[in-house]
Order: sequence, then C-alpha cells, then structure tokens
Amino acid sequence: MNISRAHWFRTPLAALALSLALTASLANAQKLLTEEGGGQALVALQRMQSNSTAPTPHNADGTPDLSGLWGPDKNFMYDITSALKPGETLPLQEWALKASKGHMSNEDPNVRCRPSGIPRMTPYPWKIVQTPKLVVFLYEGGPHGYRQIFLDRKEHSKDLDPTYYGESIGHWEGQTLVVDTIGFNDIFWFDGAGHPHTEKLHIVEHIRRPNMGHLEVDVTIDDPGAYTKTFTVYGHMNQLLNTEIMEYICDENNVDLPHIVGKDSRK
Amino acid sequence: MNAAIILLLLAPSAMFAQWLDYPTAGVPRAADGKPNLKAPAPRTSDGKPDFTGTWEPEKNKPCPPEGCDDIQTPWEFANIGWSVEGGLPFQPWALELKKARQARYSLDDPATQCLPVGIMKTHTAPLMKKVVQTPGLLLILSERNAMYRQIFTDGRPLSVDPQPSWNGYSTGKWEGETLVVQSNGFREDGWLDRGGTPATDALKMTERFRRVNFGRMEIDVTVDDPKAYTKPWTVHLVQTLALDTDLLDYICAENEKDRAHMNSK
Repeated sequence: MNISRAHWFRTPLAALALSLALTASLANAQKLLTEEGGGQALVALQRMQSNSTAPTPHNADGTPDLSGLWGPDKNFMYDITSALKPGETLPLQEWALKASKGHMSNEDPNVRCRPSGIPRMTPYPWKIVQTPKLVVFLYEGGPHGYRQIFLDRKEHSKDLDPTYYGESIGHWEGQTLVVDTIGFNDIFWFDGAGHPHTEKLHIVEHIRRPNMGHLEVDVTIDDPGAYTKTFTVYGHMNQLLNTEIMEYICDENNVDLPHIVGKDSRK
Repeated sequence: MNAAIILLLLAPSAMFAQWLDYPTAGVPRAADGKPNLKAPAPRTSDGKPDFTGTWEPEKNKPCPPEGCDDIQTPWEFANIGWSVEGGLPFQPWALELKKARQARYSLDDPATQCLPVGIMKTHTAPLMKKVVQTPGLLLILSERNAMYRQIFTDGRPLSVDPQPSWNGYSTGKWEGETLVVQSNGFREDGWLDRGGTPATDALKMTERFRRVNFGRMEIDVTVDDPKAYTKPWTVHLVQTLALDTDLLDYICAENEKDRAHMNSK
C-alpha cells in the first residue's frame, strides 16, 4: 500500500491521545508534541510544511489567492490562551470559567466527531478553495466537513438556525479577507481545554497570505454571553506540499471514547 | 422497503427550521420575471459548461401515489437499478447479499451508523448538494455530515494503488460539453442504494456530467465492478437546480436516538 504519510494517526488513537492532553496543563501538551499520540500527527505534518517566502499568488482581479493545502496551528487545538498576545488572559465570565474547568475530555464534542467550529482545529490538513463569490474550507479532520464563506452578500440572514460553522460573509480589504460570522450553536468548544461560548458568538477573522508558504488568521471573538470583552487570538499556518487530504472518517470504528477515563489532572 | 423506516432514518433534526433564502445570483429570467430554467447552461471563463450550483435529485416518482411524501426520494434512492432493463446483472453471491441486506431492513447500511454514503447515494439522496467548479478542482459539498468530495480536473491520472475509501478517488476530463469522471479506490462493502445493491473494491465508476440547461444536470453513471456484476451497467440520474436556498447543517450522529430502537425482526 502506497501511503504518503503515516496512516496510524488517522485513527481515533490520535483523537484519544489528543484528548488525554486536554486535561493536562499546556506544558504537558507541549511535551506530547514529541511523544506518541496526537502530537505525532503534527510532527508528520511539520515535515511537509513549506516555509516559502516567495511572493503571494494573486488572482486576475488582484485579490490574493488563498487556495492551497494548509496545516493547523497547534495554538488553536489545545488551548487558545496560547494564541493570545503575550501577557493577555482570556476574559471569561465567572460561569464560563467554571464551565471550562468542569469540561472533561470524554465530553469533548470533537471526541464525538462533531465539527470543530471556529477557531478550533484538528491536527490534520485542511484546504482552501477560493472562487470569486465563494470560499470553501475543506477539513480532513472533524467529520471531514466543509465551511462556506460567501463573498457575494453584504448582510447576514435573519433568524439563522444555529450551526457549528455559522453563516460567514466575507469581503476583501486590500490584501486581507475579512470574514464576519454569526449563527453559531453553543455545542463546540473553542479548544481542548474546554473554553465555552454561547449562541451570541460573533467572530470576525482577518485572513492574510503574506507570502506563498504562510497564512495568518486573526480571530476576533465577541461573545457577551461568555466573555467580559472582545478579544483576539492569532493563528499562523504553513502551506503543506506534495500531499493531499486523506479520507478520515472520525465516526468509523471510534473505539476510544469508552477508554477516556481517569482523574482530572488539574485537580 | 418500509417508507416509515426510510423517513425515520433520514429525518434531519433541522427539517422544520428556517431555510436560508438568500436569492441566487445570475438566474436568467423570462419576460414575466420568473426564472427561466431552460435557458442555456452558464459557462466558465475558459468556455467550459459551469456546473456550479445547488442541486437536488429530480423528483421522478409520480404524485399520487408514490411521490407525495414529505421527503421525496427518487426511485434510484431505494433501488439504483430500477430503470435497468432486465434488472442488474448480479453475480449470484451479490444478489444473495442484497437479499440478506433487505431481510435485515437495511440495518447494516453504513448510513444507519451515520457513516459516509458514497458517490452513488450522494447523487440520489433527498438532500442538497453544492457543486463548486474551479479550473483544476470540482467540489461536491453534501449536506449530510457536511461531507465533501474532490474531483481533480488538473489532468492527474487515477491512483495506481489507492487506499480504499468511501468516496474513492476521482479524476475528470472534458470530452466536448461532457465532464467524464473516473473513480477507483473504493472499499469492498459498498451500498449503492438503500436496498443494499452491492459494490466492491473492484469497482471502477465512470460519471458523465452534462448541464443540459440552466436548471438541469444529467449524470450517466457506469458501474464496472466485475466482482459483483457479470457486466458493466449504466444509470441515468437527473439533478434539478435549487434556487434561493443553501445547504443546511445535518450532522447525522447528533441527537441520534433511533439505533437503540432498531432490531432486525
């Protein structure tokens, strides 16, 4: 069988290992990057990363072309606190702080193969397919799903059904794609640490491709139901070369869920 | 096939919620302002027919009595071979397998476990799909589990030793106005319809996509699977354009309550 990268981390074993990291401190999570487990997925992807500083590709209409295969940002996986500017803290409301401390790995919607929402990522490739009126994100992980960003409308729909990815409308401001999303459900967590949100969530992303190999995604999170003020987390992703999205069906043979047991190491 | 079971297993949780109703751009209109779905198919800037749009299967069951259900499925959803003269050319074991699957009311259908349904059932299921066409890549986004399928139109050959997958590996090229897509790399335990018509890992599938006019897309699907069938066979699937709407979230595993109630009696 000719597989371009190690297959085993496609299995729920990776999800299990990732989940074991979720109740650990950030320091422990960093250690996992070089150990068996979900960390190996990231290590494998790092080998396929591009660090190219060649100029940003552009479309005929002058807009940057964001299309391509991208890796995840680990700061959007374990704990989004690590994606804040240094010295900042997450402005959680009291109930949200309590809720996040109470969240256990075996309740994590990701472990049940639900979509990750925004900005959470899984340790697998994702692809941007850009057309003039619609940008699509394809995810290898989660339920192997997609997200749509509409560039051909200026206003959100009224009375949206709450969904994992909400309704995203985007427009270009110079070289930056600005994406405004509302209509989220409150099911997904922002990260493995379990930071919650409500249906009041309103996210604005600023997406830039400063050069060929790099993507920058600033995610401004505005949720007056769970946070005391608006805050921004910063993501950096690398292009992936010479590989392609594999079919990873999280729901298939998900035998790890009953094995996620044990004490909360934070207590 | 018990229609009630079909409905039970298909009903999305969002069925009665608000439908996104943003008007579709670029719809050709007749003199009275109504959409002219028989206008010519749009084209991309490189002159090819553009399949981009939100599509659903043509409701080909007459109403009454067959086509009056809440969720209308085309004939092919339950029985992909319904239009094939003389029936499908099953190998004997494949026909026995189909009967065994039906005897268990399609309990073993991967769809019942919220697993992927594959190419054929994505064409025939009563859920919406969106085709996004770009120069080197055609995407088919499906409402079911927010699943997508990539069809590479950048000239790459079929994989020589692909890893088995639910959706296979697809590469397409133009023959005039038709996009001819070849796919291989399928798993050995495929279901081509709700009734359990089998497919194996020997399957090589060919789809011929044509956008006949603005509102109609036709897909001729040829199944060449020598393990399960004595010769290749072809079905003619029709999709109609859905206007002023968009894909909704349907996450099958969410709030899934039916499995506990199902038994094979």
